[in-house]
Amino acid sequence: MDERTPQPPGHNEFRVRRRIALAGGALTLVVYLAVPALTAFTTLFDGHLGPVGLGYVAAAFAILFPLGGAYAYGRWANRREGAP
Amino acid sequence: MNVLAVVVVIGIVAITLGLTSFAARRNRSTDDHYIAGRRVSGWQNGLALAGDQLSAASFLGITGAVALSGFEGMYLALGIPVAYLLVLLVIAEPLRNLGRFTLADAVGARFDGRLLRGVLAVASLILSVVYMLIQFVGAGLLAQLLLGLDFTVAVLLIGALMTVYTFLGGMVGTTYIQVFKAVLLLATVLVMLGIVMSRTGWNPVGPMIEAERRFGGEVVVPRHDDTTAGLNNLSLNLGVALGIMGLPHVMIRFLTVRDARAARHSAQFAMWLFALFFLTLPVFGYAALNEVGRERILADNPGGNLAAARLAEIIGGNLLFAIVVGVVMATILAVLAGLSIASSGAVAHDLYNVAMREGKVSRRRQFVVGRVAGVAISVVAILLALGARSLNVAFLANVAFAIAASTTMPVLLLTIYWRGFNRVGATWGLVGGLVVSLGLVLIGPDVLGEDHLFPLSVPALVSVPAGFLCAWLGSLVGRNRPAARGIPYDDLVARAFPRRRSTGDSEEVMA
Repeated sequence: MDERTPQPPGHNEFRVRRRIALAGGALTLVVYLAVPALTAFTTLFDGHLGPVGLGYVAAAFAILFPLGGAYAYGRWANRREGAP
Repeated sequence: MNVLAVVVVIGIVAITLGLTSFAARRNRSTDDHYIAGRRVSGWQNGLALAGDQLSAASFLGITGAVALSGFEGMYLALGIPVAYLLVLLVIAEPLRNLGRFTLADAVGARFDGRLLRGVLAVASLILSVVYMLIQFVGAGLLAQLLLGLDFTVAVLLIGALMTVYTFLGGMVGTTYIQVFKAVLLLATVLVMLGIVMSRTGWNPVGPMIEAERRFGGEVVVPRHDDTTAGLNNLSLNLGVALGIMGLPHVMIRFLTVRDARAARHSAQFAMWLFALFFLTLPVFGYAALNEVGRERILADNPGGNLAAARLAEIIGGNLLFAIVVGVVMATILAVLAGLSIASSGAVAHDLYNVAMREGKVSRRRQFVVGRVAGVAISVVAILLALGARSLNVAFLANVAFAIAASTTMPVLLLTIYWRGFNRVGATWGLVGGLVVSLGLVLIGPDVLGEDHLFPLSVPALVSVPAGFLCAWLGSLVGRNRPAARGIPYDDLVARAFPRRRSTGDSEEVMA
């Protein structure tokens, strides 16, 4: 096989990759959609945390938690590739 | 006419034309024209993604919506960061490895077939033209309101600029303009945030606290009195979160980077910019409510679209107002340039080369056809915008997300991750998702008004499952057709997820 030809990933490697994509994606979507669902249909986020409305705290969480997920995924993917 | 605002807009346009002229020297081949020769670095692509995504509609629309509707406006600001996490987890790397010039190339890597390629091209074209229409109508109205220009003149001028950018500069020029615009927009947002904070004791949530004190708790608390509105917000957020993965003009940005690591880095970098931007907008919304006042905002525009510009005028005088107007125009031009590249690629590469000429067209000819297609699409979009002048097209932005989430997204996802998927499923998924999403919009409240047959403005809650269902049903129907299976799934996986090891500047395949 030519040196530049992509090698197929190992069976387990692809399973891990697919699990991260699909299970991780589904979990991300569920956590995210919980914010508009709970703010719109329950009174859970009607109060305040200090001077800030809890709805905005939940909204900030919906905007910021993807950054944590992206950081964790980036580290995992870089390690998988053997990069620093 | 605000002379200073006109001067600032002319200055910004002159800079973008200079960038296009510089880029034109590097736009020599088909690869350069559609994917910037795959030379774009991670941080450049991250800024360009921000340039594509941080639209005038977000800046003006969300600020105005929070000012007029309180927390209800915040629902518009939630979806983009999570959408890019999904892009990162699910699609960015395989798309970058499978795609050539367009989104359809990734599906074409598994399934041949002119019908499928043609349908993909048409879906990409519909999405791009819908987006263009929104940008043109919005730009025309804003130019009319902010600069005193005639609507028709503004649309023609902006259309001509968009054509020049993409005809001469291609994806290289578009990338430069998007990076420039992203830096300009974020710098303006930071300056405005600094001034707003300085007026509320350097407390970033000061405007929110002041608004609650002056106008009551209802301006910061979510509303629960309308189930349909709640479902619509949920549907909107589902459409945005999943729709980005199917938007051609956004996803082709991942084809411009040199490797998978750069694709990941660009998405991560863009997400930080999105978080900064979308967390800032509610602060501007409440600051506008406090400083400009509800009556003035409504008098300017019933949708609140000038709240951000008026806030800039009050806190920073005519200079900041002029800068905001210039940035908004640059924003619209950058988004239009990206749309033009994506749609001309769909016509020249997918429709003309693959669907009509069975892939026998030379790259040189594709390059020429792509440029001509770009001009033709611009003309069509301009004519549509001139006809849609009096229509309220703002709802189309969320509809475009829902269409992408129901058509191209399921097909891309299943192409990459489902062994049992086949060409019939891909075609059924595209056509079914398109018919259901467009059909629900046509019988929904934005088109039929009070007589609507479907209660939601954004149909994603129904149309996304429908798109997946059609793709699954089609795959069942086509499972006994050998010609519909495409290349062996293991071969596709090898291309989409090659075992690679980074060696600094480039990647090499592991032996």
